[in-house]
Amino acid sequence: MSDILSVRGLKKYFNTPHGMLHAVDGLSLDIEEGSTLGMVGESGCGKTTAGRAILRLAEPSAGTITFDGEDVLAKTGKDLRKLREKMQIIFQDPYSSLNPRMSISRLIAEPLIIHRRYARKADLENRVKELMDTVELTMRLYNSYPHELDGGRRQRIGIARALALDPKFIVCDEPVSALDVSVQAQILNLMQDLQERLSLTYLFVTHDMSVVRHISDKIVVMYLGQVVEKAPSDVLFEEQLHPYTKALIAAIPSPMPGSMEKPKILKGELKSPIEPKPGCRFAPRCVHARKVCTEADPDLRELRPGRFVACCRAEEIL
Amino acid sequence: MEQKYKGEFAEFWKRYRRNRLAVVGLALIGLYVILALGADLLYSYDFITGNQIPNAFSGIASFAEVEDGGTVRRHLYLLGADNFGRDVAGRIIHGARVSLIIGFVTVAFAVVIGGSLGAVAGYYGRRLETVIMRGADILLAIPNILFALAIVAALGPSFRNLLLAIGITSLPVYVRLVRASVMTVKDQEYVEAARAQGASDFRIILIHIIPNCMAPVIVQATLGIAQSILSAASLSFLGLGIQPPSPEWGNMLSEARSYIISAPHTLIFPGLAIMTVILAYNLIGDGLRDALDPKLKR
Repeated sequence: MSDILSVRGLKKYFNTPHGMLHAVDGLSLDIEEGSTLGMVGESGCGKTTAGRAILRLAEPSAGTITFDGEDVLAKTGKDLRKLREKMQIIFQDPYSSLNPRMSISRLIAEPLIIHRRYARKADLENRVKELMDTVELTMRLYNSYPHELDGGRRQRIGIARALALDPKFIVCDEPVSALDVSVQAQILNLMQDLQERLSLTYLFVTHDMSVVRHISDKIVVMYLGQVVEKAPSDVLFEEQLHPYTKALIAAIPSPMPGSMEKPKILKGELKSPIEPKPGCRFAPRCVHARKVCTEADPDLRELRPGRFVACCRAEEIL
Repeated sequence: MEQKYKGEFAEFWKRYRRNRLAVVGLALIGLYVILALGADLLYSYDFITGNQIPNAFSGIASFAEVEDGGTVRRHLYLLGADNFGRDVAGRIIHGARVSLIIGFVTVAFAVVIGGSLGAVAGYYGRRLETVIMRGADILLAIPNILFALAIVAALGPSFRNLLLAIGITSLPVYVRLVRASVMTVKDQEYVEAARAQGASDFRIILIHIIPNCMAPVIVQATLGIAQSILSAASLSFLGLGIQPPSPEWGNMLSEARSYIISAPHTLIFPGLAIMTVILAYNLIGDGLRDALDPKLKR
């Protein structure tokens, strides 16, 4: 399969009173059609901003985005709105992402109305019912309002809305992190079913390592706006090439108390993304850091087939 | 689409009806509207603007001989007579035409124009916002009455110019109010969701933002109606609004001011009329705000 989305050198800077905030700093990634790319990293590492920049909900500062052979950044006005039919997003918070004054049916119908998909009202209603059925929402809720529903059902509305225009690609911005664990599983399974049935491509943004392992084909690990490691999902959980990834995996809570000696890799806290110093962003927190780490930005290089890492000392510290 | 609209209206009415006081408010305004529409049938305009000086200050519910359209007849002064012997009840009912229109039209004008400007300023920000908001600040800096005076003086005293003057002076409040609400709503995720779906800016503002900013605007608008009626009264008092002998609640009040001790009814009844209309609009405003919020549905 070919890549449906290619991002090269994507940057998103924000102007703050204290200087330029490098939220996303030279992100490059490719997603194969019909696959799921997991994007993980701790809070504030720029993963959400990256997702939004790809959809141009936040205007990128630099870089190129190619979607389905089209240059996303060259689109304006009508063309951009047309493109949005093919690229959708599912939001993290199912409470604030639904307009409180719209009924469930209206929320799901809204994208169809915007793009004038149906001339007849009956056709529109049928499509909305079909979508509600697709995401397993009961018809009883057709005229309900979001505040009457629980988080799981609300997130199903968010999914139905994203699917309404038959998109090819969906950015999932932590779609389950606001939900109970039992509901998380339902929503994740639903999303996987939908991916198979509708041959969707996902960019799955999350900070939850077990979720990302469950759903992703490949994973990119982000740290302060940059990709530090990229590998197929199963391989990444077997062996990590970057010390930061090691720390992330080691931080997954274990069901057996004391069963694992946790290696000490991290020190200190997340550094500020405002005007970062050159060199490896992770170096100030890395126990393996040497002088060479702070001299220049490490490139993402293919250390093993299909496995990329941005660490100067990856070979030595393995 | 027509079918759907009816359904929504029925739903809205069902919710509105639940608030008893709001229904009372609506009934009161309805009563005034009916009286205003039927004013000519109850009292002829010539009679309530003409001279009946012999009957000056007739008391409440008193009978007197009056000259009406060339004939002399016995007339019931239901709410008494004023300093020219004119029927107070008749003048209130005829005055309702003017006052209801002033209250409604000026506020509708200010909400629509001011609201649109505020929404655009709040949504787009930057230079457009600066221009609109400094404009609003300039309007706010000039005392309302003085500004309305200037407009009427420049354009000449007429009913239309009066509406325009009051409408423009009440603009900046809505500009500020709507801008502030839009700024809090525009960063909500559901607005970003609408953008992600490909909605145009116009649609985002009109369908997704405005309905979520209406609560404070409705409250302000119902208060604004009262303000407008009073502003019209002040302008009439200064001789730039409704010209005597045309009846208008504000100028009835200002004329009656001198007789507050000797003939209090000439002051009390127009005052009560203003008060009840304002109260009714406030009750309607509360009812509207609650009925339009789906969270308070059940």
